[in-house]
Amino acid sequence: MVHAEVAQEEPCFEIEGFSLWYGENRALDRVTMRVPKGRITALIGPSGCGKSTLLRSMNRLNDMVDSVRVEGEMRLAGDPIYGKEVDVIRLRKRMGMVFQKPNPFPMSVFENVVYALRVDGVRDRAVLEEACERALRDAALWDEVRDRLGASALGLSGGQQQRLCIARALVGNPEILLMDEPCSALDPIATSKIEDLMASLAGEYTIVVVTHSMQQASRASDFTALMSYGHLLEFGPTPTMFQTPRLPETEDYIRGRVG
Amino acid sequence: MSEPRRSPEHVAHARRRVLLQDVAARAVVTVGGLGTIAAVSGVFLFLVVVVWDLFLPARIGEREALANPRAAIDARIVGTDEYVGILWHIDEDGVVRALAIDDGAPLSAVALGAEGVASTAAVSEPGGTACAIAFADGQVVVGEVGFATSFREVGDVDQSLRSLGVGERRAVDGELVERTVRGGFRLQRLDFRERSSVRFFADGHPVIALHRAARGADVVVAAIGQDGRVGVRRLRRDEDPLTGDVVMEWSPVAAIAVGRSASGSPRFVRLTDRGTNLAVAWADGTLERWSLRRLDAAELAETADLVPGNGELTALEVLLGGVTLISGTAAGDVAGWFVVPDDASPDGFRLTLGHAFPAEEGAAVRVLASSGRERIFLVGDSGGHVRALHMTSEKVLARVVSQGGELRALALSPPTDRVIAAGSDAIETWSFDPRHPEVSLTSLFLPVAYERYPEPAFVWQSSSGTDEFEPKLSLVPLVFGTIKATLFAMWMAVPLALLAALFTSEFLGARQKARLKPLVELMASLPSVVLGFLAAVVIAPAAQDAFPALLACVWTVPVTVVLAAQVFQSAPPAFVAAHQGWRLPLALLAVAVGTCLGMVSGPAVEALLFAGDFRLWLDGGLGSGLGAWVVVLLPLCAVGVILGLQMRFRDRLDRLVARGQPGWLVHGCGTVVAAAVSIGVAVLVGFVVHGGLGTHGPVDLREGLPIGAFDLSPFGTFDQRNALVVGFVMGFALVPVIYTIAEDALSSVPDHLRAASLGAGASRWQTAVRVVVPAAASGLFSACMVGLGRAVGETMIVLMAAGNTPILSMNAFAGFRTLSANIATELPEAAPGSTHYRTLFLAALVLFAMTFAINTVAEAVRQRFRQRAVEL
Ligand SMILES: Nc1ncnc2c1ncn2[C@@H]1O[C@H](COP(=O)(O)OP(=O)(O)OP(=O)(O)O)[C@@H](O)[C@H]1O
Ligand SMILES: [Mg+2]
Repeated sequence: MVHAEVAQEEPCFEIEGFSLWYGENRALDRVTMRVPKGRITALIGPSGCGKSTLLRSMNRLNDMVDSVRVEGEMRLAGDPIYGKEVDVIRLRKRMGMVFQKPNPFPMSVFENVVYALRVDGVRDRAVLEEACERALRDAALWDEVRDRLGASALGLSGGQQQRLCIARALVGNPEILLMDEPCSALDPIATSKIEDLMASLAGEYTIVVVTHSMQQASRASDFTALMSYGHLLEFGPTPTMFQTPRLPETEDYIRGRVG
Repeated sequence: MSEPRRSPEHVAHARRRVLLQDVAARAVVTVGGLGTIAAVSGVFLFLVVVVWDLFLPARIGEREALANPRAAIDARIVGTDEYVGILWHIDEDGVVRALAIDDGAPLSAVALGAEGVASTAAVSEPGGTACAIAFADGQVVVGEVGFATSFREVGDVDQSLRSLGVGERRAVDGELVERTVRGGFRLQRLDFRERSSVRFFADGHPVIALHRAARGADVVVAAIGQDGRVGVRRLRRDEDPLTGDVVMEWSPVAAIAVGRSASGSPRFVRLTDRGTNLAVAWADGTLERWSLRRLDAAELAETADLVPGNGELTALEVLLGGVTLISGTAAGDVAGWFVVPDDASPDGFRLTLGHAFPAEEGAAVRVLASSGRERIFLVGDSGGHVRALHMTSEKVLARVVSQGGELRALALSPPTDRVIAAGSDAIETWSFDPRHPEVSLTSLFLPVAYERYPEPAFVWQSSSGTDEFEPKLSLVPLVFGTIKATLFAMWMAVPLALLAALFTSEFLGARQKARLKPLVELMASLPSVVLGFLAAVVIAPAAQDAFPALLACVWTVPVTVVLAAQVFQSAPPAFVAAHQGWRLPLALLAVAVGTCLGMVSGPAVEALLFAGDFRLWLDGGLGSGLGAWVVVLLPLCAVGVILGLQMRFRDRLDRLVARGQPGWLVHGCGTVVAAAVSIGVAVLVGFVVHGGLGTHGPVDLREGLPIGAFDLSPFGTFDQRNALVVGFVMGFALVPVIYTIAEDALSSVPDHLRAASLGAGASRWQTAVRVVVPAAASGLFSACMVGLGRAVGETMIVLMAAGNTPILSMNAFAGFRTLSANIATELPEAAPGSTHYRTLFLAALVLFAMTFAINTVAEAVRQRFRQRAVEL
């Protein structure tokens, strides 16, 4: 059930009756959801309910999985995501993705950040350097790595690596940033840094963040969506969701976790 | 149910059982592990032990003097029979006498000359029994010292002989009786065979020096008369095939007009090269070499000086093989000389100094004697010092001092296991074991001066039809062949296998992958003997004719594929996205079209670059080296031009497309232009380097060098079984090996890296090249190294398809012989314990060292990269 406040927001990304099967196994069941533009949307729900699947469907990373079959529609700023005529690569360039586990490439910090530009064929060093600095500043990492741009990204700490991955996702000015449990592998200090970062990015970027931490969802998001067994249960403004959820299941889930 | 099991007794029992299992498991693992290590070390140790013997020095035993002073006096030549039981000597009185070598007991004797006429000179062939003896009355006798051998059973011999042990010998009635291993008795009696005598110079003039050489069934005899004249006669030996009667007939004397460059009487005369070369030498070292190709028209081929400066030539002998002359001087220096090809000389050869052995004692060399089995010879000087030397390796094998008075004659027994010195007072013998004098680290891995080779050379030529042949055991051609095979196979296999692995791991779905991977791996189960057979019998003959077309395909196929890809990629994105499934069929179509183009343009390419006939062109008979330069330079130029054009014109092309020109047209034209420009540049550079079309410029890539020296030119005479064919087929055998490991390495790159890359908007290809390949680099490297190890050790394919020619040519169209193929071909026929046999084991050790080095490098690199892999 979707709260009215959500419907009032201008949508950035629309999901319309979207179902997904892994082989015979239905992982998403007619999910319909409009991600508000310029806001942070938290996606919560029990393990295995399909949060990651939904997120990965949004930039078609599930194409990597052989047995996947989908139904329904998704749109980014009105452009269809699924469909025969869609150029997936161009589409993905409009989105940024951050994963649960920090996954920098085995390259230098600099090359990691500008990867998206490199694959676009940008070769102008000045352009790359400027974009790199901007993305690293946006990701609040610039001061920590400005002296070691040439060093291997694998030498950074876990928190730094994750912010590097965020910088990597930001460098192409994505319309939407998809984050799948970006803090689950991090300590509380690194986590709070990333949360601050998300807060500073809100407004400029639309963010969808999957999280298992109720505190994080309540602290850092504008809207919260609860999923269960492939369904979208409830989707509303974060304060309402945490204080006066409409569905008893939502209440149970939030209390159970928080308690 | 679980309660009683938890009782203390049960726990104790269970613990005891676990403990026991632990101990048992540990014992099994330890024994198995140690056993494996022991087995491997055992094999290695065995190899080392067999090889070790190669490098041991020669052995010489204690001096043994024979107790027959009469026999020793004034011997001219000595020798022994095959079994080294009888010693014979031809003395100044013209009698050949035999005696038992064990106790000096005299056996029979045969007088060769007329009663009471003393001999003036005598010679025998190296280590052999063929002799020529000259007498004071002008007679020359030729023949062979032989032994009439008969066998008796125990019942047929005298009572006193029955007590003889096996191998024991006794002189009885002028015969030597030996108890054989089978218990019977072998009786040997001296016998002078094939005897023929002639008054050498028609006027009965005495001969002071002579020599003989076999020329087919005939014997050529050259002699110096007392007055300094030199003559040559030939003893024809005709055997009636029906009756078996032998007719021997002497040709008239062919007088040789020696002395054009020296004064006085010549002192030495020697025949070399089966009597086709006559060397006449004077005491001052001057040597005239006469070509005796026609006896009646001898020609002076050259004059040489064997003793530079004022020295005196005191001995001249012929080494086994009849090619090398050994000279000895009054100063004690010894040298080996042989002819090498020389276009400036009248007969096309020139005598050169091959090996020099500096004097040790400073006493004049008196006697030289060659072994009949190996390139070993004895040198005896006026001080009684006797040295055994090996000519080719220039090693001093043994030194002994004779105490039998003035040295008269020296000999090595036919098996080269005994040194015999006949002095004025006694005959002495030493047991001798030269071991493996021709092998040393330098002879195995550095160039060696062989007879008739103008330069020291690397040669592997082990098989010997006769004892006269000198085995040449350089491992360099074999190591070179191994490297060549590996290079060509890797050049084929690595790109193919890596690309196939990349394709399967990055571009195929799980289901297709599950089907394709086992299929490729199945290729590995093709026995390499089948591949070798295919290569030798099917592919080599087919490739022979199709070569120019294949060469054309090398260029047309990539160009059409790239062109097709460009055109496809520059179609509208929507179209590309909608027709992703067409990629593979389109690529295959492009390959087919490219192949057809290549086939069609083959003859044109042949006509244009290779003067119309590729194989003749390779021989160097036709056209210029330009074609080769173009072929070599084209890939470089193509890469350079394409990179250059990309950098320079890409933006402009993009702008063109942006302005509404059809993308496929722009990019297609770009590709065609790049191809044309690279061909143009290649031709141009070829011209510059080569110096013009139609002429043989200063650099021709086809120029070859003689066998035995490195020839790094990639082009040369065409052999049907060549490196390209082997490379192709061995590459086929390596593909599954490299593919499997490479595919595993690529697949083990974590998916989250791929997801990150794809999520950043990279295409699959970009993801593969920029992220997956670098992340899997160590695994890919390991794959290549394992392939390399396999290539180095591969045997059957190279054995069957490489032509087995141990040459040092990088020529892609020539064959080679690898260490492994060499071992496989030659080990079965090598006599166990022989030099050849042990050298083959050494080849195995070298092979082992090579694979070991490769694997070590591979492992080291893997370890270095593993660190990084862990962090991913
Ligand atoms: N590649 C895949 N192939 C088959 N089934 C999959 C695959 N990925 C996920 N699934 C299944 O789809 C369902 C949803 O998985 P998903 O990863 O989206 O859950 P999640 O909500 O992200 O859980 P978590 O909170 O533990 O990350 C699960 O039942 C899972 O087993
Ligand atoms: Mg998840």
